Amino acid sequence: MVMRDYLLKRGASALVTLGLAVVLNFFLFRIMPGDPTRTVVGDFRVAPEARKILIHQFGLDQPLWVQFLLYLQNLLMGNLGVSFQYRGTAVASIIFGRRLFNTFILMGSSIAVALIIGIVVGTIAAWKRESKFDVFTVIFSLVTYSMPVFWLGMLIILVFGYYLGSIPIAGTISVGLTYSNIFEYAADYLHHMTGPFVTLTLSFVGYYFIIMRDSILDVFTEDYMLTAKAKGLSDRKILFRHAMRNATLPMVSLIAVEVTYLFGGATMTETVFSWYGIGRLIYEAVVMADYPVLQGIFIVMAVLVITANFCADIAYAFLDPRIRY
Amino acid sequence: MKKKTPIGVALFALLLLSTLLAIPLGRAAWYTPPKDKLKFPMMVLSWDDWSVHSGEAIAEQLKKVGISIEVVPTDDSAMYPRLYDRDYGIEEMSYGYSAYPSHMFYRFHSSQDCAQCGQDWSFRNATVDAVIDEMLKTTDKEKARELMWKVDQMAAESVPYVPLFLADEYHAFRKEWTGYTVMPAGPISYLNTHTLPDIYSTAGKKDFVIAFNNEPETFSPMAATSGRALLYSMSVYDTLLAYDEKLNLIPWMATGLPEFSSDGKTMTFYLKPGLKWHDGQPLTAKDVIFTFQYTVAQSATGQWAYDIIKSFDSGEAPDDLTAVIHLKEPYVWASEAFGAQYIIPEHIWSQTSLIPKYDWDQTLVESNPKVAVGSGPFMFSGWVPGEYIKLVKNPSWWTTGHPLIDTLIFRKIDTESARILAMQKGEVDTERYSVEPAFVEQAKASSELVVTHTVDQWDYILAFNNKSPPFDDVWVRRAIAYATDKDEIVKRGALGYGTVTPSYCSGAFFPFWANPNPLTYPYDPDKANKILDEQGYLDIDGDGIRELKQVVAAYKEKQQEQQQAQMTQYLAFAAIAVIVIIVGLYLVYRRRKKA
Repeated sequence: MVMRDYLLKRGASALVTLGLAVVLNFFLFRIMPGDPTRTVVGDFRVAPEARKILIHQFGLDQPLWVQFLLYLQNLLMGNLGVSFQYRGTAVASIIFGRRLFNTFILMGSSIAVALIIGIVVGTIAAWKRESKFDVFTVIFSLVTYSMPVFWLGMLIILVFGYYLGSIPIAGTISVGLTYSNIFEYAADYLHHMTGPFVTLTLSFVGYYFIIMRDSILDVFTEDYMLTAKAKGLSDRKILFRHAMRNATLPMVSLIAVEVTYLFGGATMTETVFSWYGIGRLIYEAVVMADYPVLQGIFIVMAVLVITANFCADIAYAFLDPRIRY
Repeated sequence: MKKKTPIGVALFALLLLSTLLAIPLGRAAWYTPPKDKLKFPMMVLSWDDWSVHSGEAIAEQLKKVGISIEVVPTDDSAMYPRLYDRDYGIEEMSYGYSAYPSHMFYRFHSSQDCAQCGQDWSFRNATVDAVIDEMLKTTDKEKARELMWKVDQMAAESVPYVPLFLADEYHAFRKEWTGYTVMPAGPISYLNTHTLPDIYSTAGKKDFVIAFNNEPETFSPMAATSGRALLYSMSVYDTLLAYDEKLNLIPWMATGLPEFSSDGKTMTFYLKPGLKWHDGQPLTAKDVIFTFQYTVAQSATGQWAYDIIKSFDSGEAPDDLTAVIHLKEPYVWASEAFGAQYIIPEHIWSQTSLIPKYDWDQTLVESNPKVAVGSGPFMFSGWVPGEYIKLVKNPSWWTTGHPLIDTLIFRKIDTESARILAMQKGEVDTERYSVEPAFVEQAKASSELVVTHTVDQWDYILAFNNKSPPFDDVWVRRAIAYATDKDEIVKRGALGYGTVTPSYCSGAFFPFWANPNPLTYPYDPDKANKILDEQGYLDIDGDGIRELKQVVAAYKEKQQEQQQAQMTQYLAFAAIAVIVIIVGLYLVYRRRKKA
């Protein structure tokens, strides 16, 4: 009974947030200085009549509230508009294409692996506090976390791509690739993903490691840890069944926040490795003032984040019986 | 919860309103003309190192003649709106040359003094307009050229902007490739139709890979405006005319340059026989006429579309190899404009259910490859979005035996450092652009690469807003022209990788059209100082920056008034003193007399 109320409240607040995001998303791009028609009619030699036709095509000559209503209408039909830069191409096909797939696979795997390594090693380092293992892993985490991602990426390309030739310099697949089954394709794809994957995992792992380690050290001060030790449980059981379970709770909220990162956080890595993804799309759309693409990305991101947070709330409710309000 | 609702709604409304209120804030003017001194902000393009560093060099040079410049690196998104609104005083960046010097019209004619039009510097001169109008109607190129020299001369007298330099083009190729043509704007550019069909590898490699930093934004030749889209268009489609190494027009799909009627309003192209589309259909004069009609009907925005839309009246194809075009008025660059448009197949593009408009959705080539049919040296073969575009050679291209390569691949590699590495490693054979200045030395020193050198199409200029005081004073503009050392600007701004432009139409790029005796402003800071002194821009308060003419004049007037007041005072004292002496003498004399 109480659970259902909690879920309903959470769901309602998620919907309100979504509504707010939709409205703000539209107006935010309209208040920016600069002329959105610049990308559309970039060639200065376009005759004023032709420019008017193009502006009309993109609906930029309507009053603001009419544009907003059209925008809502299109949104409900799943039409995210047409790109200013990739003239004539639908925004939905630009976003929900190879780019999304590439970014999700890359970011998803890097974050997942970094999380697992961070959690496990963080736990062990906390247990072995002050030992050589602990000191080494903390230093390693701080160093990799502080390194600029693009610098690390460029270094990896130079050493492993150019000098050793073991990874490709750019792209997600080989040029002119012919393959007879999905495994060959996947093998080539994963080979290309090695560089950016290693770069990203290294840059994320330090963050999760330190947080996990701190969280565990916090948990060690709790009374039930003393009880567990007094009960005579083995070290492994205390560590993995009691400490880690409780220390992982803050990580759940962290993961919900990481979802945005999943979408657009790998811009530098994607640029350095020429990995065709959403991060790079955001950068290009900003530079080229491609408002429809930016709007589309922001809406998708908003939906993702709100959904992820909602799921995190549910997960919390299940994991932690104390949460009920 | 109930109590919180009205407050929540109020906050929400406030939030929305605040975003709307910010709109006028974002539109406020950035620039106000200086009120007392020759001190202004100068916009430069923030992402273009050459623009920024040239701007800094200029600021230092102008400081020596008492003008204070603050270099303001500005992003595209702010720069262009300000230029369009004329919300600036002085700016420095590059503008592009095209294959023919139409910029002499776009940059100096009054009709182009509007937002998003050809010029950004508010230059209006009826005499110049008249000469330009006459030049545009002169079909005889030699006569037109003389008129252009007049325009150049008048522009030089008026200095609406100071021409600085043309960027250099450095192109890196893997050393086993040869056969490319080096001409203005480089071996790989949309002006150069020779390189791709002629290039071959001495090592026997049959596929040529060019690295791009981004994909073409369109596969439609009618909508192509960016360099990469144009490179795709010129590989897959053909034009009637092309250019040789000196940027002279040469026949391409046509048998010769077009014939003109005596009044210059009718031009006739004769096509080579046996031209074919990639799907085997014959290419006839009907396709040519259709192309121009389509350009006008759809108000296409491709590179030459505007010139065509302005001039094209009607056309017909009396037979398969003859295309007759009627112009609204004779136009000096009619051959160039019509000869440069990519010819599209009528039997495919007239199907509006397949191709509804000229800027069609890119993904169409995947669902219906027919839309990519052209007549060029290469045929569209495949596209992996974000990775590469694959073209294969057209075996029935009208130059038999060419192209010499089997496959042409445009590969997307985002960063310059990755492209250079890929070239050195052999994954890529060249890149689409000039090597970035920071990498030129590395490319030259590499044993795997060969670097070509020519002049690029980027014309760096120092532009004034000719309506904004004090830049509305021609002497200020002239003084600044004398005060700038263009050689030093090239050295500091472009690391030496540039060619100074002595006139408004550079001979390094346009050998035929350039003025052989241009009026130039050689570096002469003394002369600049003299001009500013004579014109009344003096430094009154000794801070090294000259005050404005009006301020100096007002100050001088005040000084004069003060002097006059002082003079009157002295005179008054003198008069009183004289009267006192006379009275005194008289009194003494009277006394003497008594005694």
